[in-house]
Amino acid sequence: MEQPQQRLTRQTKENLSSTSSSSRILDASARARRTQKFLESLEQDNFHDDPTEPSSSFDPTLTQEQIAKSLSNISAFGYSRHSKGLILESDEPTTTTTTSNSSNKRRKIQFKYDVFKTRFRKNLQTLLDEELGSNGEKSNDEKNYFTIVAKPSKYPSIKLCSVCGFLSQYTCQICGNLYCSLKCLDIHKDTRCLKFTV
Amino acid sequence: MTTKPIFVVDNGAYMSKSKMNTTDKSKIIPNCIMKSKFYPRRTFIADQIDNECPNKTSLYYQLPFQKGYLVDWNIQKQVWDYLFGKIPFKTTGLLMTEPCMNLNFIRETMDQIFFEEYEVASFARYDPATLSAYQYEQDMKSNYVLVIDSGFSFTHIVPFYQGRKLFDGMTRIDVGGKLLTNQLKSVISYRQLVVMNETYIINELKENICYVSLDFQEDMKKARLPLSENSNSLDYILPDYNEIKQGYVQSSSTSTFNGNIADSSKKNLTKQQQQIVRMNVERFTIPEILFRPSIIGIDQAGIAESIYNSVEQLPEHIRPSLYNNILLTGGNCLFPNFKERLENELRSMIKDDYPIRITLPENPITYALNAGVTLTNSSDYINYCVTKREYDEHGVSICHRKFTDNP
Repeated sequence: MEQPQQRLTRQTKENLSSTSSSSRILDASARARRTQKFLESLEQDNFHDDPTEPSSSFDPTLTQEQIAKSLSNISAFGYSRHSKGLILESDEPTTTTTTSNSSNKRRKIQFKYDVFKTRFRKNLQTLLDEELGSNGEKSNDEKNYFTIVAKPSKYPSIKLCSVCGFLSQYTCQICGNLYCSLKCLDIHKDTRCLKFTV
Repeated sequence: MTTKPIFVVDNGAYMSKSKMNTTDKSKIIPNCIMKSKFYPRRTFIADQIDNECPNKTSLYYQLPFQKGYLVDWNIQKQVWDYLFGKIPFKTTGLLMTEPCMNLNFIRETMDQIFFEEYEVASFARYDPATLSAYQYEQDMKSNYVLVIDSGFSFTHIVPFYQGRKLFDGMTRIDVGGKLLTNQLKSVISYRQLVVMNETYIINELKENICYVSLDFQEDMKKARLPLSENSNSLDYILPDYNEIKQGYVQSSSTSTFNGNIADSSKKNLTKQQQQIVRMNVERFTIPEILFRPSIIGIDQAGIAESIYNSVEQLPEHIRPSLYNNILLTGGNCLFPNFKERLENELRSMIKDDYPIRITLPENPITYALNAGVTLTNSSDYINYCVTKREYDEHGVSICHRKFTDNP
């Protein structure tokens, strides 16, 4: 007899708190954006910073060549991580300094053909855009990267609790994550819910 | 012309598999550059990490591939230079794989780099699925084959007829080993121990103890059982690269009654420092994403359903032959029960009188590589590759023509 009562009070408490901060409930599009962001994070190579980044651990004993090498590595990497196709402002100066520092050894690392240098600075998004552009409107019937993606499933998704990983039946009212029990809901609220909102 | 040595490289986004077609020794190296905070002065190219870096915590990865496509040529060039070593390309040909539906820009750049930078004697590039299909059709004397290539970045389903792709049935699912490892990392980090930086260790963990569930609901029930009767739950000890060089499964938490006193007392000594991750549902819910990408919110059908969808788009009379010749390649197929699960799920979807035969090669990772070696040793390989002379005469266009016209 005691349990339902407990649940009831909890529910009323919930209602109170949700009405007081109702603006924070995420709508469908915000939830979709959030999932998208989460999926993008699953594509990430690293979740920490480059341990040899010169700004954090600058070593005066490094030769100029080594610095140039590590600089070029970083700028190339930093560029590729920004998937929006923007050229970073900090990118340009570093490349010019590295090329001005260029010596024979340095050239060995780089490609012989200068043409490539500009072509290397393309990230996946620009490449995909180019691919789409060259195909034009036809891309709808032709088979290409964009059209071979798998169709949505016709089966319902398996729902797993975002906290403990077991099967779940409930959805968090605020953010839309799944949970299986009140215990998990509490943990969810304390740790994840809206902690990393869009 | 065909006796020429040819270097075959299956240039995957995670592992680069290579072999000389005249020898029997294949070389599998990570296709990336890694940095370690313990060695701030240097970088580790490819398999240097195995021999020269004893501590693999917090490795910083630089991968040339992004979502399965080659984008960072600077990194790739360093790995290639390391891999090729002193191969005399003046007299050696090269066969390299490219992802399915490779982008035109990447194709052209690749052709140019190999002919103009490395000056290879001959060059060919095909996607691994094509090579696998070539090998399979030879081995099984079959005209049809449906290649499933489940790799690091994504999973491709490609039907073939006599070595030619049937484009209508091609499907890509954006779930690969990288996504699984990253998801496992985030799940463990949330529930137990922060391991977001330990890609290497968690990947090892995934390969060691994850499996594909044959009955998801049943396994879920089993995983709910209390620890004493739960056969699914495992304690996995993470390596600390001090005493423990490699992660391993602790031989059941109640090992003390096994009588192995000397061993257990030794373990007790280090128990304080041991970092244990208890793996339970994660063991099968992570690979489950391959079959149901919707678990993590990807709106795509899983492998089995996508196979069904893609075969159903093809003419009815060839469908039985395709279901009868399914070939599994790629590292994800190494999850235990992968083949059985696929068979079960397909059986429940397709018509009763269609036979199903799924082939899981002994080593699905190197299958495409060995297929490539077979192709280079065949008598008509000259029709498949572009020689330096042809390239000098016709330029990039001949590469485009030859590699798309051929299988």
